[in-house]
This record gives sequence, structure tokens and C-alpha cells, in this order.
Amino acid sequence: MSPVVEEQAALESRLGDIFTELYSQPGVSGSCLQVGRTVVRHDMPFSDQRMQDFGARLDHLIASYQGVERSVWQICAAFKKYWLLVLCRGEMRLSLLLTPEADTAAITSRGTYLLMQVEVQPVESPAAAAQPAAQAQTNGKHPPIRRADIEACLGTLLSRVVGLSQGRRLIAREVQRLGYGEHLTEFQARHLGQKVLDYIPNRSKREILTSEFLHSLES
Amino acid sequence: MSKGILEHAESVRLCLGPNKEILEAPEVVFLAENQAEARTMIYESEYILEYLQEFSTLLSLGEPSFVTVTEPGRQTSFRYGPHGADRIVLTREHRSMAKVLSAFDESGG
Repeated sequence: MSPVVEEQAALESRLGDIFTELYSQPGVSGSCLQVGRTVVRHDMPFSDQRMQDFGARLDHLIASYQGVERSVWQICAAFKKYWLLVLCRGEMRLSLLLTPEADTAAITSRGTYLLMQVEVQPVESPAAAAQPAAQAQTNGKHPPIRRADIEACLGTLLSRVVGLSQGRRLIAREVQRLGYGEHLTEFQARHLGQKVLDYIPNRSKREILTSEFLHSLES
Repeated sequence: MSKGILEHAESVRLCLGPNKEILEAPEVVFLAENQAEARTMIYESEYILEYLQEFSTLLSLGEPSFVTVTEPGRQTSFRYGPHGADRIVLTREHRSMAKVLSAFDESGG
């Protein structure tokens, strides 16, 4: 099997897992995944052509923000019948139809995290195509991240829910437990952030701050 | 670091009239250096509404009632009434939808 076909098969498998995961969240009624203006996959009760039209208009909207140097992470719109949640990461847009009772914070966090698992990697070699996205990002794609910067970011986020000193203790505890050095890979930074933010007892707040942290790694 | 209006306040709420005039807003919105940003937000509320109405037609969603746009260090929320946008809430913090909805009706900025 050629590397391109292998990559496509792996992507299809990941997409299947993603959609299964998303639909396990109550309130998810439909989904549409696109790269740029092209819809890759959808299960909306509409024709492919209509969904391509939707994808093109959505991409045009996002691009108009990018044109004025505004990086949109998320658009959440309430309509009479449904809510439309759009999550953006690079050129990828994940649109979800939600019932009004859906837990948007939880779905946002899950959708964002899962979207990050599907990195449309260029096929450089059979070895590179076989690597999971997280590991591929450690191979020189992103420069090392100063642990102090991650700790500062986490401290700022935690300060919204706990005191400063308590936040610092939580961060120090996880840093010591994980044994990370002064510089982190993106995977390590993400792992540290998620472990620290798991201490937040309020689920809705935890989901929101986790999404914000994951997005901030890209900024 | 926050820029513009959010450099001066963590959260602001604008109440708009039927002609998109500002009926109520904190003083920071009326500072000379922030007026362009305020006008941009009002324009943005109508701009994104056009897209929401297209999405509504394509996906049979019904009338849009509000939308939240989340970016690094900024969240802008627009509420729509019979004459278009009637509330704009701008915050540094990313809030849950429940908090956004309650912020539309909070008194003051």
C-alpha cells in the first residue's frame, strides 16, 4: 500500500473514532468536518452540495476574520431550533449541531481536543506517515517551549478559580510529579496543562479553561 | 496583552438602539482611542448576522438569537432582536454560554 493510501486509511480511521467520541456527548445532532472550504465528512441530513455550500460560506467568514489578523477559535450561535458550534484549528473547521440542552463547554473541549488529534500531515516518508500526530510534533516541527511560560499561562488561568498561591502549589506538584525539564515539547506542555487543570472541580469551568489553554499553545 | 477597550476593562456591555446607536455603554467605550473599535464591533454584529442567516437557510436552523466569537484573549457576543443586534458583550475571559446569556442583561458595563 502506498504511503498516500496508508495515510488516507489512517485519517479515515481517526475520523471515525472522532465522530464516535463526539456523538457520545449528549445533544450532538449533526457534524461537519472541513479543511478550508472543502467538506471532508458530514452526517447532516442535507445533500452533499448543500453542505459544500455551507462549508464555503463558513470558510469565507473565518477567512474574513483572518484577513484582519483575528484568529477565531470558536463560534457558537444559538438559533430557534438548534445551536451551531464551530471549532477552528488551522484550516480545519468542525461544525456541530447541538440541541439547546447540550453541554457546550464539554463538547467544545472534547471537539477541540479531538480536532487536534487529526493533523493533516503531509506525507514526507512512510515512517513519518505512520507516526501519531503528537509524536510527529516533537520531531522538530515546533521549537521547545519554556516550562516557565507554560507555568505562567496555567497560573493565569487557575487564578480565575483558585488563589494565586494555591495555583502555584498545584502547578509545582504536577511539575515535580511529571519530572519535566526546563524546556518542554508541545506534547509535554499539553500534558502538563491538562494534568494541572484536572484539579479544577467545576466541570464546566475546567472544560473552558482546558480549551483556552490548548488554544493558547498555538498562539 | 489586551489591546483597545479590553486594555481598560475586563468586560464591557453595549446596548444598541434600532438604528445601531449606542444607548448604554461604559465610559471606556467613548474614549477617543476606542471609538473605532466600538464602531467595528457594531459593524461586526451585522456582518456576522448575514452569515448566520445564510447558515439558517442552508441548515434549516430558524432565526439566530445570539452568537459568540472566541479568539485569543477576547470573546465577543452579540444578541439579536427584531431590529438586529441589540446587545454586545466584550470580555477578556472566555465564558460559558450560560454566563454569556446572563451578561446580556446585567446592569452597567
